[in-house]
Amino acid sequence: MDELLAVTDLEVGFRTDRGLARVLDRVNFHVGRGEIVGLVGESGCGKTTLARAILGVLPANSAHISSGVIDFGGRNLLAESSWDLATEVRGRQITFVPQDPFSSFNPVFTIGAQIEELMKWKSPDAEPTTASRFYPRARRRADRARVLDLLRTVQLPDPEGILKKYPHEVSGGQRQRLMIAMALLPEPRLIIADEPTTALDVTIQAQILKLLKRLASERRVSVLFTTHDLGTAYEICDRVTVMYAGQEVESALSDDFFAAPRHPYTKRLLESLPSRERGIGGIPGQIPALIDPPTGCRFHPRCDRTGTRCAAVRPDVSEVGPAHLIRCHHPVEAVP
Amino acid sequence: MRELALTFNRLLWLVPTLLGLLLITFTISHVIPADPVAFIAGDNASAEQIAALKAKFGVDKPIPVQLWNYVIGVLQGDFGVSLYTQRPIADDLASRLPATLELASVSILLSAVIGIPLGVLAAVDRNSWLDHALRVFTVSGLAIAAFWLAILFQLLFAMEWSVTPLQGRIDGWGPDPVTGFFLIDSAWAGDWAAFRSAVHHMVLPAITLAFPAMATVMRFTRAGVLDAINSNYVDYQNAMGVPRRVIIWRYVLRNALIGTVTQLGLIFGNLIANAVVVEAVFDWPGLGLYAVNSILQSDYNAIMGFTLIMGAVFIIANLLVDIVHGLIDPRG
Amino acid sequence: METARFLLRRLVADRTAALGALIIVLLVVAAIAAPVLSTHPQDISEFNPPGRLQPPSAEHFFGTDRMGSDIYSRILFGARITIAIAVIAIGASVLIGIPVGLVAGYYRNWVSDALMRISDIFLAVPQIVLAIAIAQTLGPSIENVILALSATYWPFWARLVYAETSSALNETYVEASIALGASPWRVMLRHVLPNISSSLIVRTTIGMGGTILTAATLGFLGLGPPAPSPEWGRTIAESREFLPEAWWYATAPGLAIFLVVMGFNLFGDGLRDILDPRTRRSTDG
Repeated sequence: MDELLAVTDLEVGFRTDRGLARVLDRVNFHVGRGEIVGLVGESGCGKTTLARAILGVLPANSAHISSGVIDFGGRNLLAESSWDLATEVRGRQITFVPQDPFSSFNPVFTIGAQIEELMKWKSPDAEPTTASRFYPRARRRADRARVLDLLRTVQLPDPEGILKKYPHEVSGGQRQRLMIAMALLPEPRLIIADEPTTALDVTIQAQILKLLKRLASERRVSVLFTTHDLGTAYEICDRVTVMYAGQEVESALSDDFFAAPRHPYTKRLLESLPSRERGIGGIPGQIPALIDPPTGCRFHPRCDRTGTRCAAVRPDVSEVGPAHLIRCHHPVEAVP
Repeated sequence: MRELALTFNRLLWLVPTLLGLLLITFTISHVIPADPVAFIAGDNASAEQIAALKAKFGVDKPIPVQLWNYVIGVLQGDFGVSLYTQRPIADDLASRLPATLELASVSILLSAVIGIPLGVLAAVDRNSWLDHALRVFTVSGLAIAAFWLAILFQLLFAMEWSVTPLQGRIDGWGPDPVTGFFLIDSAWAGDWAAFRSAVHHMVLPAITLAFPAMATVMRFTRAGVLDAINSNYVDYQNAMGVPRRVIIWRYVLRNALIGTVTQLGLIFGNLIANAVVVEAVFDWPGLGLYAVNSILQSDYNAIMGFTLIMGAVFIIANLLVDIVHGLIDPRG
Repeated sequence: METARFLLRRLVADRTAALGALIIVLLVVAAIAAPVLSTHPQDISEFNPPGRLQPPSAEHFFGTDRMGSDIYSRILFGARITIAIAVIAIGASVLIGIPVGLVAGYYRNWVSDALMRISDIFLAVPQIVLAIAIAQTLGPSIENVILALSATYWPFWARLVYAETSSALNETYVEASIALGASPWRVMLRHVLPNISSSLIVRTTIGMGGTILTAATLGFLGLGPPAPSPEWGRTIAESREFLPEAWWYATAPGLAIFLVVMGFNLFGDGLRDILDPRTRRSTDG
């Protein structure tokens, strides 16, 4: 498949009081055109850091990118100036759906005002390079029609009325529909959705996921979807990448992944799936501290297949099937 | 809607609160045995003269009757006669109120126009040299005695360097009163010499009054911006590539100002309190100077009137703050 | 004892709060040891025409005033007045405010409504305005300044204690002890008061700064102790007719007021960070 985004050997650390936390350890990751990729892992595994690194919004005072390439449609985002990223990439080619749609709206502006602000800068008709504070009337009218049209597409009732409301006056599901609409409005090539359904209740979660999947495939937009919930990933993703303690450990097309996981961690993750409430707590041991991570394979202290090399040598990525990559010395045997 | 009901409720409380205030001031001034009539009449006055004065000021009647008469008078806008100026106190107060309101408005405006941007800059550039310098500024602004600052300014700018007038509100008679605000009236009349003179006289007292107010504005704006800047909506707009200056000066600032606006009542109260002494130092012909002169003359009727007017101004100001707050905070 | 040591360590760690504490300690020392520290303890209120309005020198650190008295010595004795006024006035306000607030917060009936309405009326005007009215009728003296300040400041504590008491009564353990038949006094003294002591201490410390400023303002307006009292506000008022020549005359007492008020403000802010995490300044790092 044609690559849209390719992250190569990305290494990110966070300065903390107790030292540098190695949050991403030479991570490789890619998203194809029109592909929906799930980035799955426990909290603290680095999936949000990866997503934010791609967006270029890591906290400047504490995060430190020491190496790697983020290739997006042929340009290395890590080499771009922050000005170019903000004006040309963020909100135009890459848009964002946040985890909590309530607090991501400014409470003292109407929804309409906030969407208008976005369109003023990020409408497909707007020049990316001129940072003008004027919003030409003709463009404003065209943008408004576009907004109302998309609000209907995401099945929001009374779009005109919703624009006049304040964020606290609409429901959680409606807010997330609005967020999805706002992510689609600039006609991006990639949407990064950071756990977009965790703040919603279960019935609405399913609707939102279906909506996102349908719109993304209709419009040929790629989606990077982070989640800690394998069930969610299964419902929406074409391909899944699992992260553990700052490393990507397995990546495969959804069907292969759920049918025959090859990494011991992934396998255990899937086995613990029915007891959803316990999450991934079914695996003994603790997520390692990233200040002083385990040597070799970062999963080896909790792994039941540990061999001699696991603690000493960091496993390389190996291809164990078509588009199926794992990072393990002792992979689980393939199911015939 | 709820906001409106609350405001209306506050409005209803204005009357009993002012009545209570009246009762308190009346008690203070009548239960305590002071004899201002003797003071005015002088040492050589005869018993008849004193009795006549007592009758004139109504202090020969029993205290409950005096209270009743006073309340009825105040309800009709009659605060009695000043023992010193011999004019109706209501007229005295009315003629001096605009001067105080003009000074207070300019000071509030100054403190907002300077304090808000500085508060934002301090928060955005947290722990920079600017932030530290501004923190020293806010701490001193809240600790400095307004009358001392007024004297220092006078000493330096008026006496040593002669760049501002020492005292007063304007050279000459001032413009014909329309609003009573000299800046507006002189500009309205196109009398630019008077306007310049009014500005010139306004500078020192306004800055003196604005200084502590600015410190408070800055402190709360900074705190509000710091709260807002770490919020998810800022993170979201940043992730969507909205320009940083738009995020800060439009979205963050609006949220931060809600907190600052709730402090306006407090700020205004301090301002009024400081106005009394600042007017005295700069000989600014407002309510504060009137109060100070009344103190010197033991003119307790005038002081009661001053107290009531200040109470009313203060309560109305707080009411306005509530209304503004309701307007800019849709969450209610 | 353990908590005291903990508090002390936190205070020392917070540099600005420690600075505030240091200033307060210096003020107290200056007041107590004024006769020892002052260079001219005898003539703070004596007329000495040849030595009047002298600029600062080795003999007179802050110069001399219109009477020829040493301003440095007068500042030290003025500290006694400042402390006396602030401590007694705040003490009286607290002693009136706490019982009023406790009773009003505990019973929540028409009496408490009336009490709170009365404090609202007091709070409806800036404190200085009422204090002026009261001090003016009573006549200029230290006692009357204290009276005026106590009469205008108690509603602050009544309001605070009222709010805190009302919310403390909703705490489970307080509800439980009421249900178990504890007497109102026991509930108030054993449960409510200890619960609200931190915010009381914080407000009282910050209130000291404001009280000192108001007291100095009254003194400046001639409503404080009469001449020849070395009260700081009065000294500044006296200096005005000798400006700009005798610039030192107003400088020293003004700085003294500034430092002391700042000391209480800094110390109070520091205490709030330590004792009252709910109102913690999110602002300062």
